[in-house]
Amino acid sequence: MLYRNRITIARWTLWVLLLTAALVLQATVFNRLPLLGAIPQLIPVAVVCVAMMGSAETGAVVGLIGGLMSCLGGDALVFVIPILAFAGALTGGLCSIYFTRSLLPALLLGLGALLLCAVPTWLLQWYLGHAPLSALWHVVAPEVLISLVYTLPLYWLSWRISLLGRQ
Amino acid sequence: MNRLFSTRTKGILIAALIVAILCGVFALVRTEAGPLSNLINGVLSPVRSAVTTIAQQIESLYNYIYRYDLIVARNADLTARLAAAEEQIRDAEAYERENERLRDLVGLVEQHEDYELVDARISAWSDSNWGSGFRIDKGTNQGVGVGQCVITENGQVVGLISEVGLNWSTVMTILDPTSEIGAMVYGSGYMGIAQGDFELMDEGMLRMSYLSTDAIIRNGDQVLTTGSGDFYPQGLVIGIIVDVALDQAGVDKYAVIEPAAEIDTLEQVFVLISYDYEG
Repeated sequence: MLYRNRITIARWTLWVLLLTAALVLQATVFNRLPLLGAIPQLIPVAVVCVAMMGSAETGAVVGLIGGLMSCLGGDALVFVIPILAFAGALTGGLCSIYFTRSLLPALLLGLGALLLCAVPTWLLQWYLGHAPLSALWHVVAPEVLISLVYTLPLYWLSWRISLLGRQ
Repeated sequence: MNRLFSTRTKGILIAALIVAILCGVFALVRTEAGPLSNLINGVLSPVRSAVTTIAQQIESLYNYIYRYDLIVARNADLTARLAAAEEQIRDAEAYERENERLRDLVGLVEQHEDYELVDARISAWSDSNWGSGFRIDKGTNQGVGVGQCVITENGQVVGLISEVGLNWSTVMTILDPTSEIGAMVYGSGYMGIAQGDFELMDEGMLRMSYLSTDAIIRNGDQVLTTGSGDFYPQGLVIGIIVDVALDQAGVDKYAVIEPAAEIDTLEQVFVLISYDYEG
């Protein structure tokens, strides 16, 4: 029992560190090297990848942590917190019931999470008059595509962490 | 949905919604960062600074290799000693730049004795595609507060403090679409509002709106702050005009301004924590 608790704590610590690393890299390295003119958003992808390794409950907690980090530590807007919690819960739930845990569902669910975060942000910026409608093509689309590229390393890392204590 | 989400999961989702609402309300009613934001940023700030420094080193190494390759192409017998000497020169140049900045700052402070400045290093750049900003390594502990103006050592406007923590602050640059400054064309005295523009942000430009149609403005005219409002003192350099056009309705004239501060390459900035409003 004690061993299992230790493994769970270690796994969660590593997942939170993974989210932190994603946030720090996004705010220090990737924002200085924007590919296709967009800065990748790693947190939604990281949340999905981690959520895939657990249940809906795991996903919701990871989403909540990821949302809080990207909102308070990054530049995301507050509504990203419930969106990421929902995306994480949905990912965890769907993967537990329907999907096999592999890269393709990670890409599809990552795409969903990215769109759930990016589209409302774009709509809000457009509504406030800070961005034109065309930003959907020249900001949201490249941001989502570039962010998806990082699914592979993030999925691999999340999977390796989930194997902790199972080998 | 019941099959997907257990009662506990639904509870977590509701908690996430409440947390988001609380964060939103907190951000509206308080200008300073909350304890949770301070905790996250307090921990992340040194990490960000360290990773930024490493990234800058890698970037400078990359630039160095690129330049070195060019030199090799021109001069095949460039020796390792020369490379070492170049490295020393680069270090010396970095010190010289810093020295120059500080000397300029002394000049600025001599010109404006009422200015009380806090120097700060940029620890991270904004990761948002919707705005322009960066984090600095100074916060309330050093007297930095929301709404204070951020300038370069030459008195060129960089932006405004939009959020502040204990040892960190967020700066919204003048390129951000939400930024607005009372501006005046130097010499002719035409007034307008220098505001960030989403389309121009990527090009590193901003626009000066609400100019009258009969305003005679030329490319190269300097744009200064008017000092209206409490944020920016009068006479700070915003930039120079690089283009003039009529808006879509054909009523108002607007100008495109190239900022005087090279915002993309900034390493160090100065927060104007107090100044004499009359001065």
